[in-house]
Amino acid sequence: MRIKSIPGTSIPIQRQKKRISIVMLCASILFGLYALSLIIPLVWGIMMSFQDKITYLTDKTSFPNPMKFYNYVQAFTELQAEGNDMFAMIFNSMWYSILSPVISVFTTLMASYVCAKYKFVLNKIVYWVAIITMMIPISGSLPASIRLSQALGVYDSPLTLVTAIGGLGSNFVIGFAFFKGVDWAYAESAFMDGASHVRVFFQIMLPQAISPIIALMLMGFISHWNDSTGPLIYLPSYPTLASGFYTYQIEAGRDLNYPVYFAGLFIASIPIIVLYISFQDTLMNLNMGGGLKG
Amino acid sequence: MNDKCETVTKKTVPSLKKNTAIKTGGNLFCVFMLIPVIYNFLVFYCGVNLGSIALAFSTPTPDGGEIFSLVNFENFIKELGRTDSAVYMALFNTLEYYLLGLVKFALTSLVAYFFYKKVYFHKIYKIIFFLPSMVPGMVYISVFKNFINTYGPLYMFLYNLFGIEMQPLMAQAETAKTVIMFYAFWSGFGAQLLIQIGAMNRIPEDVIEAATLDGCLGFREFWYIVMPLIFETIATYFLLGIVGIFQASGPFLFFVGEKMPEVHTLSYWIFTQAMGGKTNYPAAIGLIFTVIALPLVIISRWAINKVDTVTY
Repeated sequence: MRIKSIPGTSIPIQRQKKRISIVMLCASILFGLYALSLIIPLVWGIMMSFQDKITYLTDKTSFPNPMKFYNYVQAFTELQAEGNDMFAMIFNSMWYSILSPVISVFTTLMASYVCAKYKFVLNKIVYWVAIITMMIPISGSLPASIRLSQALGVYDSPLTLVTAIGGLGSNFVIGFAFFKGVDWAYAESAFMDGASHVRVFFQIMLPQAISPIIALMLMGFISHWNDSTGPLIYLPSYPTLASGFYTYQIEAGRDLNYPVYFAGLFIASIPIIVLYISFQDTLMNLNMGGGLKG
Repeated sequence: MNDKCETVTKKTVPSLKKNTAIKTGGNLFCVFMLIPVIYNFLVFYCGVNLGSIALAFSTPTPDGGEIFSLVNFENFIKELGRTDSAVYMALFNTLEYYLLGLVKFALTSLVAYFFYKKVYFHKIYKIIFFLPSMVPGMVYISVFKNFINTYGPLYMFLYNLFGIEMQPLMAQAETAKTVIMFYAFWSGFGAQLLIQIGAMNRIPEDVIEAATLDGCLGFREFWYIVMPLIFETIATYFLLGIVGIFQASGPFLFFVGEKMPEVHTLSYWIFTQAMGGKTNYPAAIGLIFTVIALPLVIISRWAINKVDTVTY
């Protein structure tokens, strides 16, 4: 029998449902206001990126008239950090943001694959080291990390990418969970046909993992592209867009050309916006569930 | 533990049992595949952390060397007793940011529930809410900072509407701190929101239908049905939050750069010290807070494991 009122109360279900609709409407309005608050500054920033430098100093609210599209050209020459123009910063951002996640995700997946699918003396050790290191609350290792990079000769050099090799972190947990769920029957058939372990990994297992690989690499690309502190610390002579713009605004001080600076910022956002629009579903479906509990 | 490298389903493939070439190849394969992570762990985890401990217990000598010393820890004790010291302020700010993170986490659960119940325009809201996590921080922060600046749109809006002349918010440490905390709260639902919505979407529909038939609706459904069912996800992120308790930070770089130590957190203070070439004292501070946080993590994990979770 259907219940006509909420247990423990005398509120009829229909009335309760009506109340919920009102709550949903109120939530929708609140969310709308919040969404507006997120969009308005961005729209204003885009608007000001077309403003004239002098006009911006005296009037920060009026619509640019005429719109100065040339700011977007000027950004490529005017925005400089440590002697690098914006072309150099884009190049540095590209190799730093592409190679770091590629190296990191690939080497982490190698480990997560054998830990999930093979019985080997080191596997359980690696698995538990991965879990335990995620739970040790290390603070303040940055000075030692800089010293080690200097000692290894990778400081302020593209060789710093070596530090991206296969860390044991959330990528490992995601890869491990994925490979645990992959059917081993394909690999068995391949072994019976004489395929080697390496071939099974590259030609059977990795193609099945293409979805998490794309998601992890995208997340890695985005976080490296947006990372200001990493290149500022480890690659001072190779400024990326994120670290270079910080250096530029410090160096420019009061002479900062804000409209051109905003234009540069929005140019730097283009790859991220394109990726976001193209891979929205992939990015929004990545999670690591309850990997640390138990 | 089996010390032979073999596929977990080897028992189901009798032909492989006798194939010693596969076994040997498998052993080598496992070693080859694990080399990068073992290398990373030994060099960039053990190496860095042992180096950090060594730095913490040493002090530079005039000839460029280093000698064993406890002076960094003595300095910490002295600084902790002074409310105007950088470390004291950084610790206080770190805990404030951590608490702010907890409040935001709780609010995110509620917001995620509305998305799960498909609030009006939820698809477009989901994209917009995730925007600050996607657009580079330097863009949002630079724009936001100028938006609230003197003669910026917010200033002009308040002046034209109410005649209020807003003070420069980023000029004073106190107001700058409030602005940065507001920004951290305002711009940061992002990934947490998506993860919680994802966890809620995995709840079996028949569980929710049964609860609805029993009259469990609205907040009761959220509190008594949805939250226990996504407890594992929440617990994981709560635990990671405890792990990062002394690493809690804010978007300082583009707001204040390396100025205004009054607004810095511990991790950002360590960053500015390292950028300035100081190594020993920040390493000692890091070590102290690692030692303090470790039992907190162990106790939290123990407490979380005590909670009975629902599997579905």
